[in-house]
Amino acid sequence: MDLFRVRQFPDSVESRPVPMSVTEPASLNKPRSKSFYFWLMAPAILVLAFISIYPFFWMIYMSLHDVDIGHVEWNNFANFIKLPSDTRFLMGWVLLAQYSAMCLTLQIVIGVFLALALNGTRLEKILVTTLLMPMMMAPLVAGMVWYFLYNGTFGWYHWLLQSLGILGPKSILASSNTAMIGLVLVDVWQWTPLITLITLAGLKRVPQDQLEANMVDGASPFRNFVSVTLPNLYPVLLIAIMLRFMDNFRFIDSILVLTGGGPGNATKILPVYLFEVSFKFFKLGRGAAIALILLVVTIILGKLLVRVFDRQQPSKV
Amino acid sequence: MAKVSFRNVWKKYGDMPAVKDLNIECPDGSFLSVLGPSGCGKSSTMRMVAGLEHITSGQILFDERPINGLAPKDRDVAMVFENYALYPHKSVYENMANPLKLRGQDASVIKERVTAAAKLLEINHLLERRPQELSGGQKQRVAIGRAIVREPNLFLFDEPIAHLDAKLRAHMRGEIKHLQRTLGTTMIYVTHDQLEAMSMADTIAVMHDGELQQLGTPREVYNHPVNAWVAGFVGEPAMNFVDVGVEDRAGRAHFIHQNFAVPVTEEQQRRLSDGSRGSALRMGVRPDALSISMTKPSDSCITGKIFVTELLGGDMIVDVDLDDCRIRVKTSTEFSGEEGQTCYMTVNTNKWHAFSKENGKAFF
Repeated sequence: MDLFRVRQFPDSVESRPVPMSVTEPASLNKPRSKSFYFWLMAPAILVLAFISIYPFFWMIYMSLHDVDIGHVEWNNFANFIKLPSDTRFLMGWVLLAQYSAMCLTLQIVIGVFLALALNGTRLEKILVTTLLMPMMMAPLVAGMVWYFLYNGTFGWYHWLLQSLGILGPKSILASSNTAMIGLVLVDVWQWTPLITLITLAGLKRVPQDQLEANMVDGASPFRNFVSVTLPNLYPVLLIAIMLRFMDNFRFIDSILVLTGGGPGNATKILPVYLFEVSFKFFKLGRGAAIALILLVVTIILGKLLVRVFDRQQPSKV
Repeated sequence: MAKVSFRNVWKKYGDMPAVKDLNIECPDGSFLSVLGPSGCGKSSTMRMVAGLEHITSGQILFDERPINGLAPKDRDVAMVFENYALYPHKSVYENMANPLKLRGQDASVIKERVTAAAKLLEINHLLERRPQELSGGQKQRVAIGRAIVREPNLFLFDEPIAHLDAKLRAHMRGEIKHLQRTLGTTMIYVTHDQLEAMSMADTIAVMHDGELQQLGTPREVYNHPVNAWVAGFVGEPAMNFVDVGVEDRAGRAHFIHQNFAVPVTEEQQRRLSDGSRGSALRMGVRPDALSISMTKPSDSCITGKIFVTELLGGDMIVDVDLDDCRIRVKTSTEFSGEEGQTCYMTVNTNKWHAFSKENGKAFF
């Protein structure tokens, strides 16, 4: 019945030599040589080289040549030299800047506002899911939907705005004054939910005790938002801005469907112009030159944003 | 500085009451410690004072002025949070200047006050650092500094030193008490550590299950607990409880147990006769109200068997097995009993307690 026996402690403990291990035990985290990792990654590198690195260098090669079907000729940087005097190229930059600035501003303001309104409410989950629906649509399809809504004969928005006297007989996309706004609205409609989603995630990690401490310190709700919530949101907002501005520089699906750069050149932002040069006029060399410049600018802007991001993060010691 | 009064204060989360009918008067300039285990409603109480939690019913008054409807910023209280709640993107100086800045003080005044507070807390060499470059103790000082830069009605300290290591905690207990005495500001200090409450407060409010159990000075709470729960919660090592019967022998009530029969004092006999005579009682005796020896000192002593002895450096705790329970005795390190030996304990009858077995209320 004795569950526990009384242990006897011997007066002296016999000392035994610790056996020296001859072979090293198999260690789980022993660092392996670099070449081992290289061979593990080699297949991936090969695929990446084929689908990404090769086209990149091919683009640089093309940008320095006159490219035609079955005919490639060195042209002494003519593709680049001609660009500064190409008004549509320069105009493309201006329009791209306008387009991107409008999209980003509206999306950030509306997105953050929506997130603040939704955060912590009872319907948060279901409303967020509903809000996300535009984002799941292919940009091309979104463009088509809005094309119908804007249509001058049967478009519902067109009819509404015209009945209210805001719009003349010309449809939104047909007037060079309003076409750009029409495009911005589509982008805002489709991508604001992304900002809302990211901001909501950011809001969840705003420390409650800091908000409360600031309230006791004497802050009004607005001051509290500016001095505690916003600094905690900066990192996520910067990521959102980075994602969206890069998308603005790349995604032209809906624009091609809606205006194709028209009327005239009113919405011919640089990526649309690039598409036109390369695949309508088949000036592949010049297109490659424009693409290269666009890429470099995107990288520089991205780097700048990352630097701002790093500065916002409290220094770690 | 203000007097703080709780009048019939209730806090309910849905239907769950967290604070039940709280009535406390905290005089101007005094140090009130709200003591209780986690979930007893002490933090809810403090958050209601700060304005971070809605008061379900009842009133909280500063100097007889109800503050129920006031926003936190208008209550003029300063709070130190358990996790310090420093602003990570601001330097120590900016953290401490925040309450003054939000109240629109001049830069020169801010500088003067922050520097003075920093000097008082000995953190003036840290003012340029960010919170994440500080140790726990330093963060805690900054959090206190942020509270003392202005002259609020009231300090609210929510377990501010719970996350520090034992040595630093002991040091900070003295510092905080000294600080409160120096500034003379009313302080409400929430803690689950009875040692903190005992060592610092003028008045202790012991809470359990949302109800105020006892309000009194540390001495009162320690020496005259109103019920068995308070008696068991306050004091380290905890009070020993032994179920006893009461019997009259030669005109004097005795506490009867298999291991002993000890007479009560006259005063205690009177108190017992007011209550339930003859019924089963719970005797409570603190480890330091017992003296232990290996020889039998008298007939009215408790006989037991040593279960284990623990040397604590300065004194020794002896666990003794009685027939139906185990009690702990605090004694000097000279005590030489061995495990398994029979020992004898004498109770200081002026220092023991008797509680009703039904509702835990104290007879004495």
